Order: sequence, then C-alpha cells, then structure tokens
Amino acid sequence: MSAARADSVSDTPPASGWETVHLPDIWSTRWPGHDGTVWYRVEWTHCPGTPVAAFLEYLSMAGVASINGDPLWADDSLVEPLSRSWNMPRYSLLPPSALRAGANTLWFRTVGYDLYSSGLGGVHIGPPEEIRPLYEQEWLLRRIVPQVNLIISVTLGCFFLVVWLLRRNEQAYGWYALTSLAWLLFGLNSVVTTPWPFATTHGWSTWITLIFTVYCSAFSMFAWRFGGQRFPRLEKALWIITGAVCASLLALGPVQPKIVFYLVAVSYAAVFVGTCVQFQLHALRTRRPEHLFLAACMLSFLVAATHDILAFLRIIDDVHGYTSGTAPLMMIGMALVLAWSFTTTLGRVERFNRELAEHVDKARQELAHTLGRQYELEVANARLNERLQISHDLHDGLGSSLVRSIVMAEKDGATLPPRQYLSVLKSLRDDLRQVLDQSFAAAPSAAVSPADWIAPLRHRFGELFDEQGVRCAWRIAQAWPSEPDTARRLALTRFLEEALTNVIKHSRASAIAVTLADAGDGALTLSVEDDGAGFDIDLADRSMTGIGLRSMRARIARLGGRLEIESDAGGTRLRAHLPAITHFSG
Amino acid sequence: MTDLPLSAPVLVVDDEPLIRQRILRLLADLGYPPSALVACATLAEARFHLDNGARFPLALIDLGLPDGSGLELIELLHARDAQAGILVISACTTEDVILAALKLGATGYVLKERDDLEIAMSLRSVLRGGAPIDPFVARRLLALLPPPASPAQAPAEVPLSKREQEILELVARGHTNREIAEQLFVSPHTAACHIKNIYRKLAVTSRTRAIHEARSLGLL
Repeated sequence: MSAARADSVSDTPPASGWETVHLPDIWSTRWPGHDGTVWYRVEWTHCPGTPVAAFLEYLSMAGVASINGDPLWADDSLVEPLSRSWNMPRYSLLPPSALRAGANTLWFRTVGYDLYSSGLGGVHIGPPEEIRPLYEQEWLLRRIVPQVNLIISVTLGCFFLVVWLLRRNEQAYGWYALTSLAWLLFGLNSVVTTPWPFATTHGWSTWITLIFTVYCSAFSMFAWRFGGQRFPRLEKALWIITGAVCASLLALGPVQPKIVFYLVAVSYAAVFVGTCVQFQLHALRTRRPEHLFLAACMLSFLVAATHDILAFLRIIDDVHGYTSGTAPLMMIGMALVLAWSFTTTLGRVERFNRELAEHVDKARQELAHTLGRQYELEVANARLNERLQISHDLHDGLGSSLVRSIVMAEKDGATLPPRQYLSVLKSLRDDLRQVLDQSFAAAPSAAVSPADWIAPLRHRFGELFDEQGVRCAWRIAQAWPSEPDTARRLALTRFLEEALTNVIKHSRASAIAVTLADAGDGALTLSVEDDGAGFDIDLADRSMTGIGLRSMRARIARLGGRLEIESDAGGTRLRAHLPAITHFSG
Repeated sequence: MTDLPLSAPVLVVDDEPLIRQRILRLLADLGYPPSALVACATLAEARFHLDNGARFPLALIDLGLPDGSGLELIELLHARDAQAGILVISACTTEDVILAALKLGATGYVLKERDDLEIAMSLRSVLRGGAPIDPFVARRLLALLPPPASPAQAPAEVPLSKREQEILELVARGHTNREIAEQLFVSPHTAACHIKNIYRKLAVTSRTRAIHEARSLGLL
C-alpha cells in the first residue's frame, strides 16, 4: 500500500516518489498544500481460480481505478468541475482475465485538494460473498440515509413553512421551516456527484459553508423562539455577523484560505452546540414537557454533532458522519414536538371555545331571566294602571250619575213615574257600557283619532238609520283640536248616543248630520242635526223624557262646555261646545 | 218585514230566564211561531237536542253558561252546518272572547244589554244572510288575516282578497253596509257576503289556533 504525487496530466503512474501509507489516507497530513493528482497502489497475492471482488469506501474528490493496467471504473470528470466521489462507495468484481497468478496491483488515480481532506478511503479485496455485504452496508450509510434525510427535510420544511405562512405570529414554525430548508441544502453536499451549478469544487464548497452558517443561525432562532426566549441584541448580532460572513465569503472568491474555512465552520458549530447546551438549561428551568422533549432530541443530536466536528477536525479517526444518520430522527423528533405544541394549542382553543359557549349560555339565561322579571314587573304595573284607570272612570262616569240619580229619587221619589226610573236605569247602563268599552278596548284610548273614536257609534246607529231609511251624513275632523281626556271622550260619547237615540225614537227624521269640528283655540263642537218634527225645548226640559237631555247638559257644563239646543218644525239642532282643556287640579 | 226568510228551528241558549223570555219575545215579534223555537238554559240541554240529530239553521248562544262555555256549542253547530247563522248574545265581553267565537264559526255577536230595537236589527241582519260586524272586529281581522298579495304571508293563512280588505277597512271606520255598497258600487247583499267570506276564512285558517287560544283563555 503506497502512494505517490504526480503530474496531473499524466495518465501513467509516476516512476518514483512512492511512500508507504495506511488507508484511509488523507494526503494533506503528508504533503501539506498539495493540490492535484495522487496515485495509490494496492498490491496483493492472488490464487488463480477463486473470484475476487474489490470495494472502495470512498475517494476524494474524483478518480480512476485500474487493475494491472486494465481500466476498472472512472469518474466523469477529472478536471474542474470535478466529479464529487467523496461519499460514493465503489464495488467491482475483478475480471479473471485481468488477474495474474501471484502479485497483482490495483491502481487509484485521485484528483483533489489539500483543503478538502482529499485522499483514499479503505480498500477491501477478497471473495465477493465477503466483500459484497460490506459494500452494501457502506452504500446504505453513504447514499440511502442522506437521501432519506433530504426527503424528510423537504417535507417537514414545506409543511411548517405553510403553517407559518398561515399563522405568522407562530415564529417558531417559521424558523423551523428555515432550519429544515437550510438543512436540506446542506444535506445535498452528501448526495450530489457534480458541483453544478458551480463551475468549480471551490464554488460549491463556499456555497455549502454559507448554507451552514444560515442553518446554525436559523436553528438558534428556532430553539429560542420555541423556548419562548428573546435576546434582541444577541439575535441582531448573530444575523449581522452571519450576513457579514456570507458577504466576505463571496467577496474572497472561490479559493478560501484554509484558516478562514475552518474558522467559519468551527465558529458556527460552536453557535449550534452553544444553543443546544443553553436549551438544556432552559428546559431544566421551565420543566415544560415539550421543552424537555426537545432538549432530549437536541442532546442526541449534540452527541452526533460533537462526533462529526471532532472527525472533521480529525481529532478522532472516523470517516462516518453521525449527523447524517441521526438528523432524520432529530428532525422527526422536532416535528413531533412542534405538532404536539400545535395540538395542545388547538386543544386549549377548543376548551376555551367550550368554556366561552358555556359562559355565553349562562349569560343569555341570566339575561332572559332578568328580562322576564322586568317584563312581569311591567305587566303588573300596566295592570295596576289599568285598574286605577277603571276605578277612576267608574267614579267619574257611573259614580256621579248614580249619585245624581239617588239625589233626584230622594227629592221627589214618590212622584216619579216608572218610565223615568227606566230612563235613569238605562242611562246608568249606558254609562257602565262606556266605562267597560274604554277599559277593554285593544287600542290605548288616548291614541285614537276622531274617526276611530266615533267608528263604533257610527256603525251602531248607522245600521239602525239604514233600516229606518234615514240618510246619515258624518263630517268628522281629521284630528282632535286638543287631545281629549277620558272624561271628555265619555261625555261626548254619551251625548252622541243620547242625541241619536232621541232622533231614532222621537224625531221621525229622514236625514241627519253628525259633525265634529274644530272651533279654534283647541275648542271643539259636536253637533247633531235632523230634519224631524222637533220638540218644545222648555217642555222637554221639564218633562219625564227630558231627563236624558238634562243630564247631557249638566255633564257638558261640568266639563266647562255648553250645550245649545234649537228645535222647530224644520228639525232639531244639538250642538255641544267644549273648550280646550285647561289643566288644573280638582 | 214579512219578506224575511224565517229559518227554523231556532236554538236559543241562555241561562237567565228573563233574558231568554226577552229573546223569545223578539223572535216571536219577527214572526216565529212558538213551535219553531227551542230554548235551553244549559249546555247539556242544548247538546241533548243536537245529539238527537236536530239541525238549527239559526242559533242564539250565550257564552257564559252554568255548565260550560257557549264556545263549545258554537264549534258543534258550525261543524254540523257550516252555513248556520250563529249569533252570540253576550253580556260583558272582551274582544278576545268575541274573536274566539268568530274563529270557531259564529256569524256575529250582539250585546245583551242593547235595546230591543238593536237586537231585533241584528237578528234581521242574520236572517237576511248578513253577518253583523263591529268596527273593532274589523280592525282585529285586518291585523289577523294577511292582506292581499303580501309577500311575507304565513303559508297557512288564506289571504284576504283586495275587495275584502277594502270592506274591512271601511267597516273599521264605522261605515254601514249600505255606505260600503255605495262607495264600492256593489249591492248591500254583496257586501254582507264578503263579510261572511272573511269570517269563513278566519274560521278555516285559524280553527285549531282558535281552539288553542280559547283553551288558553280558559274559555273552553
């Protein structure tokens, strides 16, 4: 097992300069600063008749393999842009025709850079049934696992990106999406086989370094936001530094001084590790389950990352990255934590909604109860008012009529004929009816128009006049000159009733006219005119049938009005005149 | 008044003997022979006649009877003969009670306390096929029955025709049948027919509701 530097254009191994090496070999330890071609030579003794397989763990960056001078396999490009075989295991069943009895040589021509730890991985030669499983295991670790890693990253990244876009205030989701997508780009380093779209290996490497800084910064932000921590100055400083580092990496151009490359990588790895450690302490402080769970995830990742950093710095000697294996688990763990906190939030919202609905229900019931009681109170009040009104109407209407009738009966009770008693009783009955009609009317009596007020009377007597063939003319004012109170309305009703009854019973009229008119200054006149036989007013005032007329006159006089009666052979004219209401007590 | 079609027999239900005699006297004045008049003092008595298959094209019913409400009787009479003239003769009545009676099929009502003249007039009106109606009843009907072609009418209610609506509005203002007939250029008989139709609509559309209302008012 030996290696030798060579001119990069040469297709044949150099004749001199061979040194013995141990695989895996990284040539920068032996020839610092060497960029270009290195030949490796592996010799072994072969017993003819047995099949032989060769398996190379990796080769950095690009290379060609041959056996005893016969080509075995070759990478696509051995000049920039160099093929990237640093993570590509190779397996070959060696052709028996190319093998010789005794000493055989496997040649590897590698092209690479001192900066990227170029060299050759382990080479295994032996029977295919022993070599093949080794190769397959290596293939799983170096090819399959990184691809799975990418798929998981892209899925979770997109999912949480959408969640964050729909709920911008959930910043942890946004940072997690950025972390996942940065990790996706970083993970491509283990998968791609050409530096495309970059022209050189250096271009790609600068890009990956840049992505690494973004990944570490985004990860820190995610951890802080998820833990509910805010460090405004530190966060600002982190992003300013990251921006500056990215800008200077781009400004320095494709070929970085080795120290810059290492410095950046180690610094950001330190940021990452620092964040993980800080989060462990934070989780121990908060003791919240989701924090502790994420802390556990981070701890496992921390172990893997520490291992990889140490391997990168070649402090420990292991060519396998742990992070690419643990990263998917880590990603799933973090996704679980986020999904968990998401569902807890949803659960809290649902519980809140339930409680809210209960509260609204309760408030509604209380309100209904209060309104119900208020309504009951109002109804009770209205009833009380109604009762007061009825007793008032009874006192004013029926009561005074009764008192007057009693006085009259006491004065000359012995001489009163039965017909007069009948007239008194009928008058009392009519008064009672008025009070009842007022009390039980559906519409509040205060709000009716003159036409509405007169409608029942007009109807009652209208039908009677129709039957008797008496023409009726009703001339009713549109509105009251002044809104009449109950006593006035009762008096007017009784006057009209009495007057119309008289017309029907005694006048033998063929036409009557009822007029309600505005007399100016809030006064009103209600007149009933007929073309009947007429009567002697003086006689009527004294006679037994004149009791209705007398009580009408007295009633209107008590309200401050006057009743004018004219009667002759051409008919009778009754005119009640009521002045505007003057409010005074008594 | 001899041209009056005297539908017979006539059922008179009133628990007060004096009032009953008064009504019978008024009917006799109209030309009814005593044999055509059936007078009852209680609900049970009236029911007994109905159970024996008697039909009454005219009935005068008091609502407050010692063994129940006359509303029950109105419902029975109306169910037996939808064309029967049913006049409620009541003492002190509230609008709700009168409306309940109309909804159950009564064709009119008259207050017991009115003079003979007025009661006789109502009787003649019913015998001529009319339906005595008060302005306040018209007002309530206007509120109860949906106006013609109203867009938001309840599906169960039969809407009033335009003519019926006009008539109710005039009645509500106290116009008599003759005045209405003159204003709308129809015969007084037609106007009365319209009012009967309105009553029928009320009875059809709100029959179950009327019963329910009557029960809730404690009338049935």
